[in-house]
Amino acid sequence: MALLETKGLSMTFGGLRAVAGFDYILEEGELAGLIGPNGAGKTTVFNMISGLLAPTSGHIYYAGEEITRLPAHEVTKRGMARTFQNIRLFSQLTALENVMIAFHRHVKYGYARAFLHLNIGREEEEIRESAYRLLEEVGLAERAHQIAHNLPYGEQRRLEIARALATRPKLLLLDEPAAGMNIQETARLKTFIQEIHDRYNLTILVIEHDMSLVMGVCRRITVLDYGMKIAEGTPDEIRSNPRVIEAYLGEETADVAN
Amino acid sequence: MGLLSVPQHRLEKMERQLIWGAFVVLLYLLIIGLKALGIIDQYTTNNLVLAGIYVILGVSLNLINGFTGQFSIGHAGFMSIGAYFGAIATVKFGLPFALALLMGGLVAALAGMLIGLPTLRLRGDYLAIATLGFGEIIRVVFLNWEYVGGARGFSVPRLTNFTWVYVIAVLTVVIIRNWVQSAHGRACIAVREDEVAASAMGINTTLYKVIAFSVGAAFAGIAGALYAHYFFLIAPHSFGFLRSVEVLIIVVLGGLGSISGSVIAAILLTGLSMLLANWPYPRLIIYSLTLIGIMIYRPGGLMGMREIALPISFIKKKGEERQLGAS
Repeated sequence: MALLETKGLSMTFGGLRAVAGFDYILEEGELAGLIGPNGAGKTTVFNMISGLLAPTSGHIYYAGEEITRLPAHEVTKRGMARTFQNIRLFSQLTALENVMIAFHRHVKYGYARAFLHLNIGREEEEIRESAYRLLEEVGLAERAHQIAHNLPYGEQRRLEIARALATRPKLLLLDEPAAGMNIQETARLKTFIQEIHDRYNLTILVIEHDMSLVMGVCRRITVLDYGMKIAEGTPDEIRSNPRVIEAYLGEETADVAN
Repeated sequence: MGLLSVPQHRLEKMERQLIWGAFVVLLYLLIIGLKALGIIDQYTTNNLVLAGIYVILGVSLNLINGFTGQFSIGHAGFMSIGAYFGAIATVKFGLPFALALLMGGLVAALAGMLIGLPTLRLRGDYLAIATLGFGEIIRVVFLNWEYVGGARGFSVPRLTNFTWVYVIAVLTVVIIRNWVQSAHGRACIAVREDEVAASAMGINTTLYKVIAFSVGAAFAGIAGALYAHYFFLIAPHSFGFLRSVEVLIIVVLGGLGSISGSVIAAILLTGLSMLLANWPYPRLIIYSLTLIGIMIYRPGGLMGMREIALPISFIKKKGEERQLGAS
């Protein structure tokens, strides 16, 4: 069954049609990519799916349920998590606190017990330890008590993914995870994405500019241009699709072919 | 094994609680003792009560401004609601004092919720202006409400004493500290840090803003009710914009996001204006200079975002530090 489906998804900002009738199906367990030139509407699609933007028209279904106009926190509760193109960590807090916050939807104790600190010790410890374990799993354990803002760029990206994982999603949306990374960092990220995909049984959708990342990691790629889907297929098919080359790859074709 | 089977960090936590508890009790006994000996006179007592009330106001506003990051400057408005409704409870309905405090807090919380739902969509300056406007509206409402004396003011019997204020100030600190050190408090802090990211983490940001706003308002209301029942007369002008600014100064001075900072700043500023009360004009200058000095040398406030922590533990550390999450 499709985990995520969009039908005729459209978004208009004033006179600008950012996304126009985007139909998309993502099957459970897939590791798919969404690419397109700057301003093609990729992030807008993500924002609509994750509930940060209400689409002008169209429908979004998640695990069979319509989630079209649900607020972001409701979408997250249903098992979808995302990262942001321009990293949005809680930058003044430690790495551990960042992850602990993301366990929010699994907190069982209520407001009254929080005010009185009534028997919350054990649960708080569990949250702290799960958060720490998650940091260990993504290789950030020794950074646990450092302020997120002070981490190196690549680790901030990784922490943001760890934080998204802490919500225990089924579907993970990664918005340009390799943006600003150097070649080594990107290579490491590639293995990392594959790893978490397998380890947590995730379905992952990646928006990316970096061709080497998308072509290397995604098994199915969708190309967006001017808010419309212009191609879909395996990396090889995309690479040789003349419309894609014309719209997006242009002179870069030679690079990609390597 | 008994005591030894309790994990180290829990033992340390118990120790901390014990030390703080002892400190709070001893400080209280000290003040009561000095009062009985006549070393603390009535004038100083008045200022101690005022300091306690400012502790409540400062810590509760810090929950809204410092921890949840919603810049509100209408705290005097909530304080006045608590003051008037608390006074109505005792004067007009003859209810017991404790119930009056509760009523003051509840009505203020309700007002906080009603104001918060529409205005918390606003950000930064806009929210500040909206809350400022709210404070003024409340003031004008009481000014024109003959039932509570209008501009002439409202006479209230003295039912508050130092003990009430002390106990409630301590409770306020404990309750708000508990909250910010819980998962729900972390949700508030997440809203402050990045609202979009917080909502993407499954946090209902509006809900947490409204909770912070209502809880902050509730404690301001209780502070107002305590105030009303100590100074015999309340009038709308006691709760003007300047009062809100005073509370805001306490929060900023102590450090946005530091409870101990608010406590220290509340006591310092009340003490400073008490010491300078005999020199009304130099007082304004010294007061302002102090603020300017702190803003220059400690722009994050006295405490920044830190809290006072006990530096030493008397429990012997085990051979090695306990590893978090090690299994």
